[in-house]
Amino acid sequence: MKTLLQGNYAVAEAVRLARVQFVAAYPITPQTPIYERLSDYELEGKLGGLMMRTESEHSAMAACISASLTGVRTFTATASQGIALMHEMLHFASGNRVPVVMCNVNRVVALPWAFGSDQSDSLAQRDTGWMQFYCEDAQEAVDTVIQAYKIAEQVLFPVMVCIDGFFTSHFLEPIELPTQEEVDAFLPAFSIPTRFDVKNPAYVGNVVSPEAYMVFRQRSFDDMEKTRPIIKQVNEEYKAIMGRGYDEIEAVNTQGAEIVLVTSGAMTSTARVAILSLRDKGVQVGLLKMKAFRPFPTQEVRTALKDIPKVVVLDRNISIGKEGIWCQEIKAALYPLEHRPMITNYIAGICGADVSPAMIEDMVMGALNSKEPTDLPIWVRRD
Amino acid sequence: MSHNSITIKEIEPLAPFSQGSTEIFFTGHWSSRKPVYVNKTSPCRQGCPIGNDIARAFHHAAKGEYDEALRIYRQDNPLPGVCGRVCYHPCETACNRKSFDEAINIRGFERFLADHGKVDITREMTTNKRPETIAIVGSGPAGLSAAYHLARLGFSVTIFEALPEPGGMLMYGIPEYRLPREVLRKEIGYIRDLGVELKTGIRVGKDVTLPDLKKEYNAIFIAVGAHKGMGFGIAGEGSPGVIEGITYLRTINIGKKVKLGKKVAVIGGGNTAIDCARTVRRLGAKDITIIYRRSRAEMPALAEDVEGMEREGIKIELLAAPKRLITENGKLSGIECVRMKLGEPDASGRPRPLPIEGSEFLVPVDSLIAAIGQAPETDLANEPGLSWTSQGMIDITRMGVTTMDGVFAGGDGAGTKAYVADAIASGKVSALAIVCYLNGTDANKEFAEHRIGAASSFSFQHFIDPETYPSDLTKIVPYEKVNTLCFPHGARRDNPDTVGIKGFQEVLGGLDKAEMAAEIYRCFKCGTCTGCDLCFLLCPDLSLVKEKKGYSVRVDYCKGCSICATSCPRNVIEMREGIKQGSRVPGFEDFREKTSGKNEPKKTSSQSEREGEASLTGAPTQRVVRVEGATQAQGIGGGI
Amino acid sequence: MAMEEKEYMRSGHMACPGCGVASTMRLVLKILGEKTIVVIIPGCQAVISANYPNSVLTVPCFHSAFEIAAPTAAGIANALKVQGQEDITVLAIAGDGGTFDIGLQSLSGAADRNENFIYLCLDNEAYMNTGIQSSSSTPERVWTMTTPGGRRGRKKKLMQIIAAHRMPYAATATMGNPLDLMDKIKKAKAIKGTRFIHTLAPCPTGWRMAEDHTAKSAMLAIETKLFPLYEIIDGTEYRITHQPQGLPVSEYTKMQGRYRHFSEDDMATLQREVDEEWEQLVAMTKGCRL
Repeated sequence: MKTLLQGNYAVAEAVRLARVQFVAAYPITPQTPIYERLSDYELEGKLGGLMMRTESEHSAMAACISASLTGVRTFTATASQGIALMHEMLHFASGNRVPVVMCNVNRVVALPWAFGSDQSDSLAQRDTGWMQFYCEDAQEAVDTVIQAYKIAEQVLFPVMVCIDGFFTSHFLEPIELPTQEEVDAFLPAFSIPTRFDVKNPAYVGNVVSPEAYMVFRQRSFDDMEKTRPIIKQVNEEYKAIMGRGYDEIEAVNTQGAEIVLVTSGAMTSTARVAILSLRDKGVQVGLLKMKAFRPFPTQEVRTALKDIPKVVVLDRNISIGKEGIWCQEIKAALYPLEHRPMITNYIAGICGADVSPAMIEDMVMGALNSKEPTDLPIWVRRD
Repeated sequence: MSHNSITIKEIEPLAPFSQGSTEIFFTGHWSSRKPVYVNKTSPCRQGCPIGNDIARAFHHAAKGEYDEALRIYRQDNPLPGVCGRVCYHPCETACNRKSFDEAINIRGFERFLADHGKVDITREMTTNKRPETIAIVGSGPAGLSAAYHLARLGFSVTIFEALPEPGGMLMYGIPEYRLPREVLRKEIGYIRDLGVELKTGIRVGKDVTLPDLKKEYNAIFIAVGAHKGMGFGIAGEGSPGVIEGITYLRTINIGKKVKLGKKVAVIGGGNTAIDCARTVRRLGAKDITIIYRRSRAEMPALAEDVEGMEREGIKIELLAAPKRLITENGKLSGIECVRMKLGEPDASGRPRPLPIEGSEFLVPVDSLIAAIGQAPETDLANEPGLSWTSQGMIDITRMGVTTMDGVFAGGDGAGTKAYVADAIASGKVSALAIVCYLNGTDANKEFAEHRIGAASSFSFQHFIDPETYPSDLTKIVPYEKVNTLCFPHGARRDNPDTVGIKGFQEVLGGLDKAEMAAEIYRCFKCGTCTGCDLCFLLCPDLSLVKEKKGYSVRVDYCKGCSICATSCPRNVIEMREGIKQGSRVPGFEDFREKTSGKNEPKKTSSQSEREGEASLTGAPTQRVVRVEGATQAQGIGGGI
Repeated sequence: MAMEEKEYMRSGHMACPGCGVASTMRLVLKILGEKTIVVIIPGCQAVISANYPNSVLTVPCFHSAFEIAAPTAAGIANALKVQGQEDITVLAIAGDGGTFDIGLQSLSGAADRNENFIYLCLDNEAYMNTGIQSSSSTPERVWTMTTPGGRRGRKKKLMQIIAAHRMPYAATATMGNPLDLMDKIKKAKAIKGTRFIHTLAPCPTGWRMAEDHTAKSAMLAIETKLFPLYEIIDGTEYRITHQPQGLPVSEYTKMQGRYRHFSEDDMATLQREVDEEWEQLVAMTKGCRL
């Protein structure tokens, strides 16, 4: 039974269904409806926990970390300036190995000031040690948030679930919401022992020596590698109950393709349409949707693209001084291949600028017809 | 890791989770300076002629242990009820609190203890009985004091007293409105309880001779006092209506009457003069004038007694001296006086009074009491072998040794300072001299070893048991070393003076419990660790440990910052260099309160070093040197 | 007052000899006892509380980030509430830097929400751990390494900011009057909501003072009225908890090298300011509402 929901509200439902016990948040466009809907739940007694209305995002994450260490299931949401402000705390959460789940509603980061969808805000946090998943639509967001808790509470890493600002957050969509019974069957109650036990006192997180730091750091690195099978396992468990699941990457018609388009987020929906149109026109084009960003699905990407002559990576973000971030990661994943595809990077949809199927077709054709690879990304704007 | 079964042990390696103890770091190595608790002596004790252990008594009283406080006073002074009423309180002059706001009412405290504390005479005796016997001539303060200390030390003591009752000047000189008889009798009773034999109505030199005593007793202490008033050598001195002061007081105190007129003059400025005036006042006369040749500042009488006297309507004519007596029909009708001015200091250190030419004036009186000085009145004046000074006092050394072997003397009769406290002190010092004489030890050397600071007093308790004596008698706490920041200002509580003239009823009341408590709180208790815990609480390194009595130092952790020493309200803690683990602290390693007058077996210093003593946090600490404060550390004990 | 015998702090820590922060921490924990969770942020308190794998405190602690003592503590307190464990006290410990400066925003937020924890500010009047740099708690004209000519600007009136948040309980205290400090911690422990204790924690190293003068300088701060001891209940009721002797402020400054360059005029100004602020405080106790 589907419900028509705005993406943000859908996320709020997922948080409620996941029996989150503690929410600390600060309002920022385009995340605010999540925060507001959760506040309604709190008033109505539907949120089985406490909300803390902090005076900044930095404090929100701080509170989530310490609450999580104390032993409750936590959630926050933010965007853009907020996640930028949280940066110190993102490192902190990962280093503390806490299973905080955050929904980041992608939005450009100032300056210049604007509010449209752009993945720069969350991708720029790639080195903070969080798991990052990107959702194509609100349905996926609901499912990913619920899965995120089960993953996080096994691997003890914080998880970021990203949705496009406005395209996903504010658009109405028919959502198949799981029932509370289904979610309870899938996701057990929070049971990680508190790190603040008056009967077994310890000093959590104090200063370490350089040697010890490296040991902790490497342990985190190794543990992040070990999350890969768990991500898959949890997805299988979810699929078994809900009938839906998502892999770290989704390959569409990539077998034998002469060119594959790589996208993520809401752009993928548009890309699916563009691919069908191109196929009709006889182009052997495939689509690779990227869901997981951290841990980066290197093996999966390599397997999907190893025999593909040309790859187009569509980035709704830019790392000034290099190129689109997904493109960098894809290139790095493909580097060990003996025969590497020619990769073209397009920067499009920055700040939520419209990207039509026709524009995507042009990008694919442009890449297909070019003989020489380019170092610099190609910026695509609708003039 | 699978869901629902993550344990804290699995979490520990993921992010720093520290449970180790920092006590593996011996920060004591940072400095070789460590604190040592050294109880010191308060300046009031140094100021007291008797050497009363005042601060320690205040410390116990602050804990509500009034009996113990009284017992501490009585280690040096058997007559606290007397001194607490009549002493000129040089302790208060020396009191450090005086520099902060007002001196402590130490005299009122001594009186309070005597009035309210219980005496357990068995605790005041040592267990060593001595075979020697000692005769004491005179039962005034000097004689009583000597008797008390000698009896305490186990000697058999007999006092020979010429008058019907014991007490000397205390009984026959000081009027009852200043010193009620019952107070004195009670305290003499305690001395009797020690086994001292008191033979009254026997005059040595007449009823029994000194050579007799010398044959029968191993030592003799002569304390005959100065019961003969001195005349002032002016014309008309022998007229009726003229009486000597000390004779007057004795006659009244025995219960007899003395006929005096309506206008009375009292010549003199000492306590005898004041006592005469106020006694006359109580017996009817209202027109009474004190005539004194110097100014108020030089009057030997206590200022508060002079003021009390003036409140009773008695006048003072200062800087005036009698020139001659005027009689009419054979009766005294007046005194011709001359005005005096103050010149250069004389032998007594006071400004010499000089008559002003042509300044004569008449004071009409019909009675005159002369209270200008006293001398011993004794049949021993011509005792061969016993040397006397030109002032007519027995010639003694500082310790009371006379020119006769085995014969000692003290008090007014030997020319010691003419105050009760000094007489008691003199008896105490001579008791020490007698003990040394009988033991064959050097009295001067013993005195020096047990001397209180630079005073002419010593601690008897220190003499009895120097090993466990809990204070350093040579170190007097100066005001600069008191941490006055720990104390709020407060007004002094004086003894209430509200009775007025009600016959010979005691004029000054005692402090009530609340007032006494307030005054006890004001006392800094200089140099005596009260267990206030300030040092313990302030230590940033938890290097001080509260013991049952006092504190010990964890030298393994003490960084030598010295906050404890500097902050101590009463200058108990000293910092010493070079105290290594396991080493001894010179002099004061092992303090223990002596209990019950019985000798406890003493622990050796190796027993007092504790290996593997558990720290307060439960983790074992090695190599702790026990450096203990001397007194009980129970809570705060009367606040900081 | 009966003295609790247990300690919740160990010896062997790396505080400078004579450290006011260390003795304050010790006294506070002595009163709060075993059922306490402590949030510690960078500063002297972090160095003192020891490096991995050791701990100086024997209660659970968490080393949070510089500006977030308050929301960290609030997060713990809220989690404990969710878990139904409201008999555990949450204590946040921060220095003056982490309170007056970088942590002021998050402290304000937590206080506004009346989050349930005790905030202990250990004020040694500069960033001491990083080497004596000035903060907004450094008094005017005082020397620090970043204000070698003397700081411009007077010490921030933090307690007034605190009062403006209507916290159920706020108080000034110092280890120089340990009984008063412990009384206030006891009081604070029994109250729910945001409780703030502003302690003056003298620093011999940073104040250029002999290391044995820590407690005495704190006592002098109290007795010269420079650091009055008082409480603010619900942001409106002021109670002075100790009547100072009213000593001249020079008694306090003369033992500190950081005041050594003060001219006579500077001292006169300081005395005047101290007297004025004391009068204002007394007026507040009489019901004057600002």
